[in-house]
Amino acid sequence: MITLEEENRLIDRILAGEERCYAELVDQYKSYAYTIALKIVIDKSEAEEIAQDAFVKAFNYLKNFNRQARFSTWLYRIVFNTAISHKRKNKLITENIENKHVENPERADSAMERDDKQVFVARAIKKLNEADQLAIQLFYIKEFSLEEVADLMGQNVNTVKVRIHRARQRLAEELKGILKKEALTL
Amino acid sequence: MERPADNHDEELKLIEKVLGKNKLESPSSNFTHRVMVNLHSMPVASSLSPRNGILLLCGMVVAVTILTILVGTGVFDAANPTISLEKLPDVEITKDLQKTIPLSGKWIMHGLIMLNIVLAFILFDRTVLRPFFNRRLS
Repeated sequence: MITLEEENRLIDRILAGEERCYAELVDQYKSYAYTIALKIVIDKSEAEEIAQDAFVKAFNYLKNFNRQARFSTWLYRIVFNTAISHKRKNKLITENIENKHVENPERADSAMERDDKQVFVARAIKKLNEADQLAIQLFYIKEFSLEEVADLMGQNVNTVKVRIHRARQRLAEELKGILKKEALTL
Repeated sequence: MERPADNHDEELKLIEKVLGKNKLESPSSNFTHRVMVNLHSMPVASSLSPRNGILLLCGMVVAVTILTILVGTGVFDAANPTISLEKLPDVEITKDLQKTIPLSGKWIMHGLIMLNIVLAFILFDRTVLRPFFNRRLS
């Protein structure tokens, strides 16, 4: 991770016309931007396209970046907004994890058990509203701080804390229902 | 964050276990290169989704077809309204003007049809052609 000073120096050089320096910023934050987009749109190729668009937008508006926040915070917000508007416009058909589960019956038992757990949690997450889904998924990625999740969602830290707490409760309830239903069908 | 005290312990454990594996995802290896290549091509801001664009386009095609049929059957041939300028104040500038301006309903409709066709082409370009070729290029 580069320091704030190094980041500001890079931005100064980019604004002075050294465009190739932007590649360093892209390399630094591409995984973060891609992950945020992926958590919103699910589809990998769409997420990559969104992250690229966000970096291009950030470059073109870099002179408007006021440096009161870190570049990453500003960039994540651009990625978030780009992904949300992309999702609204295209109403993406997300990959159905449950179908994947049905289509692959020849798995080893342990792998099947592990995947089942993931499928159940994924199914329960889908029952949450979009903001809760994103907050809880980003919260569990250790590279994102609670402050960063709050910033990119445009909410204060305490609101996001409460949101995540409630989302976990709802998720647990949904999961309980799903597991009960699964047990009955066995 | 503290764990909530409730009766969902097992489920919360499972959530922690599964979501605890969440990690940063990596984009393709040529990601940075592709961003650098496209730095000066700002993404096209289309306010219409392809679906809405195509629906609007279909509407425009239907409108042009109806107008063409109506013009062809001569519905507007008899519609020749005039704009009266008699109520204008009698000043130097208006003295030389004709007191009425004749209008042809048929030619107004021809104009509307042409305008619709031009708008339909622009819409077709924005919602279908440009996104299609941009996708192919990328």
